[in-house]
Amino acid sequence: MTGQARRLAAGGRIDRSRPVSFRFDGRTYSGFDGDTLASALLANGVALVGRSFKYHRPRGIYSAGIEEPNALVTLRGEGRHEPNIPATRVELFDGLEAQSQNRWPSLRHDVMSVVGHFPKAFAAGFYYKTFMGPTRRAWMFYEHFIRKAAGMGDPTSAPDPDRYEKAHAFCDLLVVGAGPAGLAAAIAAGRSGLRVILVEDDAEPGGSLLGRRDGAVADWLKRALAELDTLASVRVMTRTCVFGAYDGMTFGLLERVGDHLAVPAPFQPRQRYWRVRAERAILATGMIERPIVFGNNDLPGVMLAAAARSYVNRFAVLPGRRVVVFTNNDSAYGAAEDLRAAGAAVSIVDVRAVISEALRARTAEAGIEVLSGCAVGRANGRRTVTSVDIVPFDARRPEAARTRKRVSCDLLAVSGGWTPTLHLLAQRGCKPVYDSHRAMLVAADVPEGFHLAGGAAGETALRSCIESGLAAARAAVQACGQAPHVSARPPVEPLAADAEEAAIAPVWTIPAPLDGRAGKMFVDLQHDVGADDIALAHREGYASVEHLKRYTTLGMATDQGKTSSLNALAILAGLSGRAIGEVGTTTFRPPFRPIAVGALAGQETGLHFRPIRRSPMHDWHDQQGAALTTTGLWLRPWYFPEPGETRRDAYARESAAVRRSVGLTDVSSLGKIDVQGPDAAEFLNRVYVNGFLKLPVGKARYGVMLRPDGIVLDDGTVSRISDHHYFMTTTTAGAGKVMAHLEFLLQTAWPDLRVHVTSVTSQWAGMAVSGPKSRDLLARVVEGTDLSEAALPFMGVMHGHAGDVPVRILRVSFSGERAYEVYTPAGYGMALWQMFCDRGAALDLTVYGVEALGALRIEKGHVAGPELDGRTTLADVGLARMASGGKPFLGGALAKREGLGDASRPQLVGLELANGAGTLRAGAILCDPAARYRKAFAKDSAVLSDHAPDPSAVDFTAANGSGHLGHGIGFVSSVTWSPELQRNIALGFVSGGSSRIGEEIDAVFPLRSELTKVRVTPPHFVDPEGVRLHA
Amino acid sequence: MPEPRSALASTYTVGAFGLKQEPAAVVLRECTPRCLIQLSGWPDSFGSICERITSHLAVRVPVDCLTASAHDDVTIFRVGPTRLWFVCDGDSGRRLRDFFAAFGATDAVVTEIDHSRTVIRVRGPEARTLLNRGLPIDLENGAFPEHVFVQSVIHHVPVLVHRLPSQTDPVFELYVPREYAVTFWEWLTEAAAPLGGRVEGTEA
Repeated sequence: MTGQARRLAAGGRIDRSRPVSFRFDGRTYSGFDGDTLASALLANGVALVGRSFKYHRPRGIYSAGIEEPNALVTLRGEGRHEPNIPATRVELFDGLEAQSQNRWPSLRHDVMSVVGHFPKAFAAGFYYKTFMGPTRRAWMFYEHFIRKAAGMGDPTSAPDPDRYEKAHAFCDLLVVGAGPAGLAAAIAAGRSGLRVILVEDDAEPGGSLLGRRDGAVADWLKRALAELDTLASVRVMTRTCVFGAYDGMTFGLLERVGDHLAVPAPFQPRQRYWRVRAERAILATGMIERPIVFGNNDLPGVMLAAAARSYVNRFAVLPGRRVVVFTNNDSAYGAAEDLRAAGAAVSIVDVRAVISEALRARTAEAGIEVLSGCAVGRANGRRTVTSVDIVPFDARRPEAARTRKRVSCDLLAVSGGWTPTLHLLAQRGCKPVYDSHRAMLVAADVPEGFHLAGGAAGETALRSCIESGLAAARAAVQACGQAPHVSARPPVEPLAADAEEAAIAPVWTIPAPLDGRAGKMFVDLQHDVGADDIALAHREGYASVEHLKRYTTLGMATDQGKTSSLNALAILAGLSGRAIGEVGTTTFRPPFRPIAVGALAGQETGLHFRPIRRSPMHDWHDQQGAALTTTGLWLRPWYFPEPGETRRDAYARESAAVRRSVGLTDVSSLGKIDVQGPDAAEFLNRVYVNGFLKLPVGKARYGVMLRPDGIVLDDGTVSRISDHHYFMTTTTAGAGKVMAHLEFLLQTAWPDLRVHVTSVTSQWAGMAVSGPKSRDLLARVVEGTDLSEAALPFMGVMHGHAGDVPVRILRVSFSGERAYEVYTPAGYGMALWQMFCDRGAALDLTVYGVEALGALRIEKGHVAGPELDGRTTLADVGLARMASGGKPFLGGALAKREGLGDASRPQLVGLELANGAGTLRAGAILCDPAARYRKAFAKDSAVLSDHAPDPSAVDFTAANGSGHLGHGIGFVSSVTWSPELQRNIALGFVSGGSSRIGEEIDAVFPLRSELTKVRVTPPHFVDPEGVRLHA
Repeated sequence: MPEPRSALASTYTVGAFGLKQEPAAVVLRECTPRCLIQLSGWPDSFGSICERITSHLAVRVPVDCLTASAHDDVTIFRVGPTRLWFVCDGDSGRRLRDFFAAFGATDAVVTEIDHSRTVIRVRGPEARTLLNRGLPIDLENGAFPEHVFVQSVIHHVPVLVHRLPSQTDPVFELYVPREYAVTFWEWLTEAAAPLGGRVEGTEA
């Protein structure tokens, strides 16, 4: 463990009584509780922390906050591994493990740094230019290597052991930022009785005050926090970032609940994603300092002036002992003084020729040399800054000059001005405008509901920030319909009057010195975009700022260009001869800072990715060892394997049992809709293609309903329970859309019909008893009820009891065997199911799952979801004769459209392997063998012509390309290996339908380069006459 | 008639869970099976239906879809413009069914849905915090006073949330579609764990 060579002996907000040990790139260092990883690294004298994105140039810590572009590290390991985390936002904890990124084999010696010697080859847009030849396919070759070299940080595929939460919160006023303006606003609003949520990204409130040395400021902060504690209606959320502002005054927040701990506390989430809904919002989001652009401005040891100040005052770290402060405004002088007070030798280079007397007096007293009318033309050094070249500079007429003086230094602190943090406002569509007097982008229109305060409102002086916070709170309180609190004592006692500040000199770049090598001038540090890249883009015609952004990728990194955007606009303006305000701005989009996908997912992972629906008999299936599968949201038994059985063994056994004796399956997932009212029959008659007006009580009828455009919507059965009461079943997948469809019709198309529809899918458990012995079994369970053919014919409905359990019995069949669907209120489902199982043992009852269910219905040629896929008509699925000619029905008119009546439309057929070999796959495209071309897919095949050759001349296989193009003549919809027929069969649709029975056609599956010969058959493979229904 | 089996039968475990907290920050209990009857009418006759109900039950039918009304053990929710839910115990349910039978089919229809919902009671000082882990509704006293209910969504599950009168900590009852009960319970208990929870027996 090395010592903290740059740690100051006293001061800071760190807790020296709690030392912390951490590792960076395998070496152990020490710090204190209250440090960030960045401050601790600086304290240990670590200057080099990363390699840049494209050029792999050495990079150091640049800032102290969320705007950090350089110091991106990978934290932790295994499932908690997290790349691209700014070291400035990592709260140090004991045992923290961090790695630098984008270097190999080491940070100090990175092989890829050779790229930096060929900057022109990798200039903006290089992948459109440099790597486009010599052949057309050359890019496909280069792309592989470029993609491998690109990117920053590596993700992990190990499962994340932590949990994440989501939550909702509501308030009258959301205050974003707990700096001086935000604190003042929250206190004032809280005293007025508003429900306030005050959000701060840092671990503690205070904002810029945390980096100040002033005792009066510290006292003010202490008093403000004490007042906040007394306000019950104010909730303070630290370690929380407001990352997005959305419609309806809804905000997205990310709370880092456990990120500052090695492992989250028991039961606690690591992060929590909040959605906050507020009446009003005050954005007290402060400002971000921006740099000035000059040669080699990316060297480690170059950082923002306010950051240097923060490291000294907040973290008791001296980032340099020989410091040059380069500035165009007054704010950097405070940084210079604090660095000097901490023991550094400090010089100030100020582009302004005239410095105020007050500043001159202060710097003289502090022993700080000031070089006015000068600029830093270039920073020098290899892996860290060692000196800077000072050039004379006239801010009114910036021209290149020769170096006047070289000053040795180990820290260059730069301040080019301040930019209000307006990202949340920009997300709401507000474009900032350029304020030339203050050289910053400020908000023009503030949308309804929002207020700006402090730095976000363009205020730079402390007292002004506080007063603007109070004013924003007053306006917010009044807008919420409350009277602002009036007290003899102001909510927050203001500080002393602000010192007068001289004007900023709007300077963006410094021309390279006329002597020596220019050095690359970076604008966007994180994406390695230089001033020359902007010039290149401009030369190539990318005049719009939107094009500049996308062509150079400026502002598109994880920092969203927080330190680069205004400089880029200014450079573009200069190149194009426009005012900065005319250039415009790009749009900031959420999130303000990167958000882990885990946080957005919350608990919606694994089986909770979507909510799972379980049948009332689910526990039984689970206990019996059923393999489970999802059908939409339902978790259903797939098959019930006996020891040693494969899936095919199991469902083949189950299917055979249904055909030979009796099977039991859970059909609770079927949609069930209660239809009641005096006009119920008329309603059903309108929505189904077949007639329902004369359906007798105690009978059921199979029905198909269409969409208004004539396409099949769903099928099911309707049972008439009493005069005005019907019980409708739908497919499992169609239940929701059918229910919505029926409600829509009743509410908009036919509000005059006295009908009510209610989803009762939850109310009823359903089970199908199928097979030749199904009636025998039913009779053993539903005792004392006449189940004879006369009493309960096919499509009959009756009610009875199984013991004390009420049951509703429908004699319907999906399998083609004699079958009954038995329904009971869901709470009795398990009891009824157990009765069937117990009494069915003597009849060789077999429970079967959805795989067998599917095989049975495919064998019978019954259509289901894969056939009713939103593209097929009644005629396509072979049910045209169901449609009543004597009554109108929904969809009937448009079903007669020319396209839907085209005889060449694919129609339902059966399919089997022509030669017994190959694989039938659902989704395979059916093609006419006569339509093959030799313009094949495989690269070895010669491209001859578009004319169809003699099919017998060439043997087309999957290996040499199927030879088929386009949509083919149909597709395969459902496949199974038939237990009854002991071979593969399928249902599908083919143009010409039944007229092709006996033909051999091609089934092509391009995803696996398969071509299979199939024979067209009738769709009803088993018992086409339907004899077994009545067995 | 046998006792209906709870949808939570295999997953309901009585006792404390999560963060050790005494008293528990949230207390969960599945409410014993109740009658849940839906009555639906049509605009031209719904007013008179409501008057008859008010007269028979001595409780005003809710006028909006936000505030439940209750008398004795019968609670009424207006879940649609002309649709009511009646929640009560078994005896009251039988009496209600007999009463509803007097309505003609042209005036109102009755749908039995008492097996369709699992009802979970959530109470405790952190009941609001727990529910707001998934419920996008403001549950503070001013926004969500006693007797108010909403039909909303928690964890993608449709839920009716009803606030009951209480002396101390807020009490809510959640009506969850039965087939979602297990997935919802898993979410609820996991969300409650960091707060400190306790599951009470259904007989409590």
